[in-house]
Amino acid sequence: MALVLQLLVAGVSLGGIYALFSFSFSLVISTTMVLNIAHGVFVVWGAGIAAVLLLRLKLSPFFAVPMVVLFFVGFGFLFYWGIARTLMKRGSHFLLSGSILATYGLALAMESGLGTAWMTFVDASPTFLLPFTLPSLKILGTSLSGNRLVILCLVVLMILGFYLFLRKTFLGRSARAMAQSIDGFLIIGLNPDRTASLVVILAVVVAALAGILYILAIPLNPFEGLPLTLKALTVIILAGVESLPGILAASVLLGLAEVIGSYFLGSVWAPVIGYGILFLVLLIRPTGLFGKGIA
Amino acid sequence: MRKRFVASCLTVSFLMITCSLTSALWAAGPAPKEIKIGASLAITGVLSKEWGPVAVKYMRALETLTNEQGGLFIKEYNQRIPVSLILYDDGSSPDRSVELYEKLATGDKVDFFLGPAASPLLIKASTVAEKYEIPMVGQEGNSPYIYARGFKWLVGTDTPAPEWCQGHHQFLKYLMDKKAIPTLKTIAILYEDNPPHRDIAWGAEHSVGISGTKLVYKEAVPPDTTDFSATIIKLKNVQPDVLFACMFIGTASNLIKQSYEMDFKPFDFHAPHVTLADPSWYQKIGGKIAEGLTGMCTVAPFKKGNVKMWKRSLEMCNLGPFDFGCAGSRFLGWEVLMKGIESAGTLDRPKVMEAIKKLDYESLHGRMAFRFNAEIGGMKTDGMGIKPVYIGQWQKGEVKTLWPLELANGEFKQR
Repeated sequence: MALVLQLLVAGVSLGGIYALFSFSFSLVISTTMVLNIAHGVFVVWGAGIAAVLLLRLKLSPFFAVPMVVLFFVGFGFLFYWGIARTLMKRGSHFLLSGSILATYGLALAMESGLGTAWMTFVDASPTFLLPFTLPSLKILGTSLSGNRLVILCLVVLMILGFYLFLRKTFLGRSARAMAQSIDGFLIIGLNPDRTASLVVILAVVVAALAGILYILAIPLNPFEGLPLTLKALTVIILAGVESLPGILAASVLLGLAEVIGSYFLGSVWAPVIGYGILFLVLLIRPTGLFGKGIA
Repeated sequence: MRKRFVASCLTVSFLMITCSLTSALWAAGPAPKEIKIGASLAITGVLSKEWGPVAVKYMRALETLTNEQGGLFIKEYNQRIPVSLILYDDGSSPDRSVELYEKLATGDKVDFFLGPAASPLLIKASTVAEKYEIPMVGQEGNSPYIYARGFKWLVGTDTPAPEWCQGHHQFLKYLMDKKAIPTLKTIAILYEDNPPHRDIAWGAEHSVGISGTKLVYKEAVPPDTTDFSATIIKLKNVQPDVLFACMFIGTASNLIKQSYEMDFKPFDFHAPHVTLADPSWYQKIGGKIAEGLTGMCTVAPFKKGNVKMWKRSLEMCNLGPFDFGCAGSRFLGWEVLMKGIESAGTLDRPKVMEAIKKLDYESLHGRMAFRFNAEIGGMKTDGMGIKPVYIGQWQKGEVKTLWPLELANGEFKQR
């Protein structure tokens, strides 16, 4: 019983970390149909900038976090108007291949830029980690990391917030309408650029904030962006695009699968388990477990 | 008549001596302006926590100290020749390291090589030394596999990886015999699945007889693993007294932090690389987490060998003794190369390589010599050194040397 609880707790907390950066990834795809390969790099950049502000410049989190948000609002604006909008205007035939190529190039450039700048100006060792360790919580003899518990709670709140945003606000309903049918969206006279740009900016900011929370639990280096994107892609394929609660469930499922697989088979099999699940889902249920798949 | 005979003999002798000297000088050729030594270093990248810019500073200090007396005395030219060190940043990448050593051999045309940081780089970089027949002294990089390939142009001064944990078993036995700690019964080994750490784990496992402990758990983890949840659950179920975490500092940091968060606290958490990291690592990971971790050092309060040069090298860089964890191995590798060149009396590479292999002298670390046809880690090796292991522990932001006793400047504190 204790073992089952330990594995559950570990799997759910790992899944929480995956959900952190997966649902904002889903938001961009469902609204703009742009497959943003650089999404994981936005997470890493958010973490890196926060680490510099908090640890090097020793700013209070009350200043550092809004500064990160401001930076990524501007960045999200440039990303939408510079890349996403250009790709959306090309038409659906070129959208997928174009978005993969363009955002992959962006990802490589951003990774190299951050890595070089970090090693030149900040620290020769390119690792960022927030050394704040919250006390662990004991549940029925099992220890739960305080940091991961906070991340899990914040992820649930974020997803709940986004769910309410999409259901209850005008902008959220516009985003859903745009995702369902762009023609219908245009017919009723809504502005696609305004809706899409606001949603993309929101998603980019959330990705950056996810990075800050990520490094509370696990260190990041400038070159881990693409693997994070792959993890996020695995989660949304497992969940199905547009299903936010499904993304949380899928993240937890993936986290549990990796932890349980690692426990019984060994850590060397952990990366294989995630990609194995992705492969199986694509074969058996390509629309995802909880919703529609990527068009 | 007799006078003429004597004069003739003297003239002929004079001419013969002059001709011999002239031929000898002709054969030696003019002396080179400098002796070029090339190396790549992990100045940036994932390994820079243990090497980094401070390693460059330190190597430059050794170069300056060597040239203070005019350089190395080369008998062939009957003069001192200064040493010139050419260093490049390999970014902790083995492939980049190979490119740079090729550049050093063909572009910079160096005379000799010093090895790069760590086994994964030395495995590849040493192939360049073998290809161009340039003597290379590996300063770190201690996987027996490197020295079991039959390479003729490579020696390594670092303690062989399988012997890293032997010293820790000896230290634990000493503490238990002295009743300074309770009797420890079980050990667990986690190791990063790459060459030096498989070998360190091998050594940790095969040395359990020294401390009288029993291995209860052993697992390989992929390099750069970030999540250790499942592994820590297994370890908590097994409850080892000692954990050997044989991994580079980055991976070890992840394990250490998550172990702390998940309340996994063995009596002794031994991660060999943590005490090779610079003091900023202690701050970065958090003092609460790092306090009491034991590891392996190359630095100790030395009493033998060229202690004067050792102290001066640190002073020149404004470093405390543990501010650069690999200083001890860097100093030794440099010293071996310099002594080998001077001992050969020439810059002829085959002769220098032979001279290096035959070295046997008293270094900072005690006797320094190389082993040939020696079985280490289950492999037949040539050219591995006999440097001892020093055990260290993080205590209040500093690394204290705990073992061997004659060099200890601290006592073991339970975490």
